[in-house]
Amino acid sequence: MSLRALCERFLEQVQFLSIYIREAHPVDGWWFGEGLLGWLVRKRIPQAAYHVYDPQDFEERRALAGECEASLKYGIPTLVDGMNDRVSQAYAARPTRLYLVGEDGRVAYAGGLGPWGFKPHELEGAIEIYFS
Amino acid sequence: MGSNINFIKNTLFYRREFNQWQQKFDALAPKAGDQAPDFELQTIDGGKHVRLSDFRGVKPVALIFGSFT
Repeated sequence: MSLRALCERFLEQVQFLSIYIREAHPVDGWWFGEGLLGWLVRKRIPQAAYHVYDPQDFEERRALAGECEASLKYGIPTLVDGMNDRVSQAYAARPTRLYLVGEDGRVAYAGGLGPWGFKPHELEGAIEIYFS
Repeated sequence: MGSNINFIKNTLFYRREFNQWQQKFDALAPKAGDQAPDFELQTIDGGKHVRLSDFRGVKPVALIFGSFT
């Protein structure tokens, strides 16, 4: 199940929050924009951006988060982590990760480390169990 | 060819850095059953601050961490 479909399915029962963190593959970092291998990655993940430099301040990161939200259209609020990356560190969230936090404030589901541990279908299962 | 070699070199370097970062912080990250670390962050328009604990007793919260790249 795609993230968008997951959000649509449980939008009434669950508060989805997108937390925008440090860029995983900026041009001035671990860039996937060059070479044949980079081309293969871009074919595999077309929804990501490959022209982005690492934001130097919070305003740049916030602007980029806005572009990302407009592009992905999940229909959920996007919050922006500070330049100290405090929240992504607290949740070990780089480059991407999923969690479900219950109404009691306790973690009901902690997804695996990204990118390979990023599994929307597991989050879906966790939500179903939470409400069962 | 040069760009492919650059890609491989970059991947070897940054992958190690990523792995070290993940190992360091995953040891401290919350597991199922743990209290989720509270936080307060701004929305993308800067108009609102949202705190995770605002939703306690209201709704469960699904956190989706990521970036555009």
